[in-house]
Amino acid sequence: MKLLYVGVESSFINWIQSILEDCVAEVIADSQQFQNILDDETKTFDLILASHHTQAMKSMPSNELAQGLRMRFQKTPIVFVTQSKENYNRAEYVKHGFSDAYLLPFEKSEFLEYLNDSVLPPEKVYKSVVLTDFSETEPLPCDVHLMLPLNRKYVKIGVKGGEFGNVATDKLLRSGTSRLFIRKSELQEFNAAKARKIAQLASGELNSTERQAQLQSMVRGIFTNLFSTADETQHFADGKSLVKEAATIVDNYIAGSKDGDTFKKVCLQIGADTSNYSHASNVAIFVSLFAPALEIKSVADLATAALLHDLGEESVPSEILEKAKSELTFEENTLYEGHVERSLQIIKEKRIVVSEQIHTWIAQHHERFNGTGFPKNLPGSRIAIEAQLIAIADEFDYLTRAIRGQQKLNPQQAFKKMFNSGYYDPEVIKKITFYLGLPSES
Amino acid sequence: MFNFDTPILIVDDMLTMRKLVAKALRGIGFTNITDAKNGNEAWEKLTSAEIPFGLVISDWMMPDLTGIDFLKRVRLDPRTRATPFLLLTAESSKDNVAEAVTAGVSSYIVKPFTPDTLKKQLQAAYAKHQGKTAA
Ligand SMILES: [Fe+2]
Ligand SMILES: [Fe+2]
Repeated sequence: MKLLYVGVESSFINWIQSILEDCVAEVIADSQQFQNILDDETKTFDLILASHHTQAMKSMPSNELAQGLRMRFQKTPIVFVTQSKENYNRAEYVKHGFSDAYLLPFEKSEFLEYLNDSVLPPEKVYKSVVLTDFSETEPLPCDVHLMLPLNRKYVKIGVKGGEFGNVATDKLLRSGTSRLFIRKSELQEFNAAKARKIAQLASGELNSTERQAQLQSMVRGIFTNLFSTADETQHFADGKSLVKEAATIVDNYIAGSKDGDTFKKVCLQIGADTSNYSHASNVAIFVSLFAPALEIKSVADLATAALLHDLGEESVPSEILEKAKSELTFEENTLYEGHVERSLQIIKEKRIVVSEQIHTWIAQHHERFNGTGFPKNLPGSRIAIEAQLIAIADEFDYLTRAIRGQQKLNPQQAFKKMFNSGYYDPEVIKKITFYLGLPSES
Repeated sequence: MFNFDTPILIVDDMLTMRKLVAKALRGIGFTNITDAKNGNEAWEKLTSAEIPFGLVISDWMMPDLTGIDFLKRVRLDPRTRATPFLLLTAESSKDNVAEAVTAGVSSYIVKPFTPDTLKKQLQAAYAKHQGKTAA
């Protein structure tokens, strides 16, 4: 996807680029560059967005803009966008040669609709989802489509706000496919609804096997997305946005659950500029995904503990953090192991109000199943299951994210290594890998 | 049907348009292209040319001397009376085409146009012009 922006303001460009994800953009800001692009016959674009936002392009009347572009790019969609109501006349712009014109932000949804229907290839517009992503009891968060494989045409079978009724189910059955599609522009609404549903499923009583299966399939979906970058056939940018998307769902899932308020508050209090925030938030994401495997319901508390567990590392010099534990001198090791106590101190100093059990879990996050952990050398039977889960998520992040120059393992390899280490309860690892649908180690 | 050495005069107040029309003409095969940025400059060039221009392509909407006024002046002068004259109009001024026809325009093109349209309209203008001179 190649886009040309002519005289368009940068905030608008950023907005479009974020919608279109991996799209190559060329930006023209003044009339000299405009002449150059008209002279250069080698360039082609999939879409041109023009405006007289930028100062240097203001002097060029919109009809000259339209005619110039239209004569050079005869078959390309050229869309005029403007924020100025003054002189706005869609019919006039179209007469001048623009394919269409939109007054933003008022006609934002029409504009997105236009991008969806006329310009973008289907895979850029639609995202594949599954039936279980939707709740039978809640109104649909967005339109739902079905793809007719013969002509790759998308038909709407469910309407936002309506329900996924019998007619839709019939159509789905008759189509012989189980794949549903939503517009990427409605992804946010879709994800929010999905997160609400996971939170509901995870914190409520999972009495029916169907509800359990639903939760499991959602967790598996998110987990797969998180690690789909490992799949080399996937475009890197796609992978990156998938991870971002999965993380957003998990965030909403934690924040949306019964006691998610503490989590939200703590997020704000420690702030994303904390030195190892990305590690902390990864661990929070992983514990949230592992929790249902062990039927742990206090997901938000668990995630909150994960967010805070390594706060104390900020008082450990980075040279020490970068070394393997076995290479540390006695003094260095003492300093390193002190980070657990320091985390609890910082929580007090910063007046972060969290429950007693969160303190306990943080205090135990380096205890090990075989009793070789620190600071108390607790045996496995005396370590809280939540603390064990944090320890597993902690190590899992360490093993899969290539921290400290270490080779990155895939989820399966990471769990295998942990399974064999003796540091973690093998039954717990088994339950997690089984729940996530990873091949089990025996 | 075209004589590609024919000198052609492009008249438009917009640099972008002059360049694009010139480019389209070169694409068709014409080699002798001159431009002017308003009616007065064009009149100057038209009347002082050593080899008379074989075609004028003029924009309609121009400050000072508009395309139609320029056309009228061209048609009134015996030196330029027979020169094929093509007007470029925006869709919005299409209603005034009758006026242009009365004033003696050879053909007109609605902007924006493709090089193909330009070629077709050129052929039409030439055909009309040849018809006239034969009669
Ligand atoms: Fe730690
Ligand atoms: Fe950690």
